[in-house]
Amino acid sequence: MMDLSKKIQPSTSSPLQPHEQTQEGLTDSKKDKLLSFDFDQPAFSTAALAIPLSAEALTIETACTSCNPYIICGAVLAVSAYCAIDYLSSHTEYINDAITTISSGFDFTVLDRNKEGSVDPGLPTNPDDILNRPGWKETTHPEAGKKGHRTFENEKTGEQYRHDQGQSGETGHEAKDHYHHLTPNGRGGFNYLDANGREVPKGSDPAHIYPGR
Amino acid sequence: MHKMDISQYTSFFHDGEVIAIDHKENNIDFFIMSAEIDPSCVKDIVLSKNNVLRGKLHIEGINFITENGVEFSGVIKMKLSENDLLHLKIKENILFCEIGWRGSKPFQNDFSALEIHAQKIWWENIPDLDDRVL
Repeated sequence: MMDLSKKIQPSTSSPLQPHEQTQEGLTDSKKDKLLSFDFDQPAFSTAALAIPLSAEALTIETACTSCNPYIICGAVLAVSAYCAIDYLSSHTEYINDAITTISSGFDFTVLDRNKEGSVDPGLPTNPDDILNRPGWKETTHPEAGKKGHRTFENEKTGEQYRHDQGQSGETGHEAKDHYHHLTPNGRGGFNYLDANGREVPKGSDPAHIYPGR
Repeated sequence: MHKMDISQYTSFFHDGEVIAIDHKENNIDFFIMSAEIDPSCVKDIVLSKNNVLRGKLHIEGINFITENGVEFSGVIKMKLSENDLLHLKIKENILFCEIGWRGSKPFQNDFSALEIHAQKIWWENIPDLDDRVL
């Protein structure tokens, strides 16, 4: 989980592919999990039997006068519900995802699934390697460094790279190591660049730059 | 004014920006904008024309604040001319937020990891919020 640097080598514009695949792979696997209940499991088999059994219990009402068919029906349903809960309890991760979906009416597990960023193969996966390039110094604020945000500046050009370390439990770009490339705009501020050095809006998808994989 | 719970959307604020801060007594209004959002990823909330969330995060009845792990009793202000909102989370009326500040001079930067405990935190969505709000 690391990256960063100045494009010493001119970047090629190809590589959206690898990251795109990674992002899609992650989110799709999550979705797969949501759909991965095994309906051949005993609990589901029991549940599947419960309804016909309950119906049958009702039909034998006249034959079994000593037993209330509604009690039989209730008991069968209770057993099947218990089995289903027991099975689901061993799949907590899926349950949490499912609850998120059900309670909100929107699947937040796929939040940001379309974020792809841009890729600069010239950036190192380890941001420390930027310091090997002439003119670059680390100017990370100590408190920012503790939170996984490092800043590198070029003394001559005033350019900056910020490296954000991916945070576990987060989604989108915040979950993955990435860089930002800033260049002075001549008015005391900075512009954000994409992997090909083109000016892009701050916070835009291509302003999140990933190193070559 | 529609009071919204923004906690489900806070991930979008990584690489967003703080536009302004209005801290009066034990209330703070953070005027903030998110990073770019794919419109298909949000529901029941209106994005600005650049596909970002813009609005005011109201923090009411502040109990205490820490900045970079140290209790803070002053007034929270914009520290430098530019900033990056690096992290935003809301959990049970506690705001966790990280802001990287950037000045116009070389090597001029600062950082605030804020933890704000309050009685109420809510979002006012303002898609047409101006950059010069205060």
